[in-house]
Amino acid sequence: MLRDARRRTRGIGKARGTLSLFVTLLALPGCRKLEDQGFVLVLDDAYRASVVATSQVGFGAPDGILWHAGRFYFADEGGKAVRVWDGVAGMRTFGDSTAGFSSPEDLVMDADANVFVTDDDTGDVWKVDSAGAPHLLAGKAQGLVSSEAIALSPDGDLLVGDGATHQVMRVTKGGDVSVFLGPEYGITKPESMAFDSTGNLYIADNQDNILYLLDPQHHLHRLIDKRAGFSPETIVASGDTLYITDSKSGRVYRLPPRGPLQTLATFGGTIRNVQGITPDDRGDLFITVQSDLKRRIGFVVRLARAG
Amino acid sequence: MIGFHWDPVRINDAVGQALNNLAGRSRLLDDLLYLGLHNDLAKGAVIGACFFAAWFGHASREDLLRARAILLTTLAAAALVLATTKTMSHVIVLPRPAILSQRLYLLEGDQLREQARLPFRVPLDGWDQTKARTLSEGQVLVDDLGGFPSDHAGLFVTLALGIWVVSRAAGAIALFWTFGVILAGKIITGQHSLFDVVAGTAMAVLGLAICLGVASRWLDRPLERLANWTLRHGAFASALIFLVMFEVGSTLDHLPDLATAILKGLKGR
Repeated sequence: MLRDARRRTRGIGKARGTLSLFVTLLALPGCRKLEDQGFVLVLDDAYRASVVATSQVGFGAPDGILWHAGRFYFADEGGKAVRVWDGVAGMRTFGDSTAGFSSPEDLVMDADANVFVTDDDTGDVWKVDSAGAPHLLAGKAQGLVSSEAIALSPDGDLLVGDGATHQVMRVTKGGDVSVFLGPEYGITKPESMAFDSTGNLYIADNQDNILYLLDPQHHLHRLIDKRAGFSPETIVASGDTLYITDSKSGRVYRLPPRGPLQTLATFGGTIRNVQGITPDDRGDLFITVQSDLKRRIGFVVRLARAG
Repeated sequence: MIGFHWDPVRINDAVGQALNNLAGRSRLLDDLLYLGLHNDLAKGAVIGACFFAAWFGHASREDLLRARAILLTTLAAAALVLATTKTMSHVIVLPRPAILSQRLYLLEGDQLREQARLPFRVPLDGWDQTKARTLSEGQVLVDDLGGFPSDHAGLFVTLALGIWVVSRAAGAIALFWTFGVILAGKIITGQHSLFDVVAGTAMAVLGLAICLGVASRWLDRPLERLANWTLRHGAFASALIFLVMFEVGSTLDHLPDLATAILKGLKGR
């Protein structure tokens, strides 16, 4: 019965070899699962994306990142270490798990080039002096349980967000700890903090998905409140502009002084988990990506301003 | 003398842009395109109607048996082709043209490689406008990175060709609708490139040819018995074919939901 049909489709059969070769050739350029494909969609034409460093340079999967004088300081959560790296001198580790680091989270630098680091597993706040030696500044004994965000206040003290006690603590350079914003302020998880040039303190709560603003008069405002798809992970101020990473949506945002919130780029696939962000002196942005925390696979991606 | 340089990528881009140039100019045209792509009645139901015409449109019993055997084989081929194109589009990274209107970088090894950027006109219908707005806000679906090959091309070309083998008139309508409405619409609205459609079509031709070849060589008797059964139990067979074509008309969109609901129900017990 189907013999007639076979005759009719004989021409089709002849083309089979050519077509299969055609399909195979077209398929060859990218044989991987879509979920395994990392990508960056840059939505602001002023920026270009590139990979600056991968785990091959010696870090695990960094969270916090800080650029200073051509060097990158990492709170290397995956590698349980605090490190500094530049393309010439390579990687140097200030301290790792043998020194007591467990899950370095965020970091900030003072005018004397001392680096202060939080650790959300232990609650510790560390000082790495300008010579590179780590010193424990404060920890559980002083009431810090899960240190997340860290910022340097204009008066020189440190402000540390605690995700377990839902507070923001003031930590002096001498290691004294006091409450700066108590739980009555309703900040559930102060994941990241940054001061702008006018003394406003921005606080990212990535559990309630709120970006707070604490003005110099100590009034707390909800700047962005539970906006669909917005969960601030790390914030950094550059001039009057705030840059924000969102690890849940894989986005990098810019918040100008009078808004609105703008998406600079979307990271996806294997490089969706954007964490820390830091600007350099020419306005380029550097973003840490934790591709696989357990297997210690991470990236540093640059969003470079064109021209 | 004008020389011709064979560059498939340039041809693909040129055809895609020429067709996409039709979009974003007339709300009426874009709304009609939307209907042809998203409305099951305007999309798959036409192919289903052609299938039914081919299923019933023969006078002699012998012709009817032969037609139904081919159409049953066509359904099997369509399922095979759809599974293949879906699987391929899940492992081959070739972003949809609409996504390539933005600056897109793909991670290759340890480096981000910028993809060639394409000009793109956004259709004026509400669905495409919303999609373009969410894209400009950074919302990208993983599915948007894998448009190759077109599963619509695979499915509907398989069906239309199978219908054409049985009935030239119904097949011509099905082929016209498939290429002129569904697949052209896909390219015009930037959901697929010419490559995607050509590859999907190639998969369809290949799949149908293989299935008809296998059926004629090894499954002639079972198919004849099955075709006879559809004649003996005409009402029941028609109902079954209706269900199949209903699902085909929606590009099998309901099946995953149905399977999920059944699994949830079973787990609930």
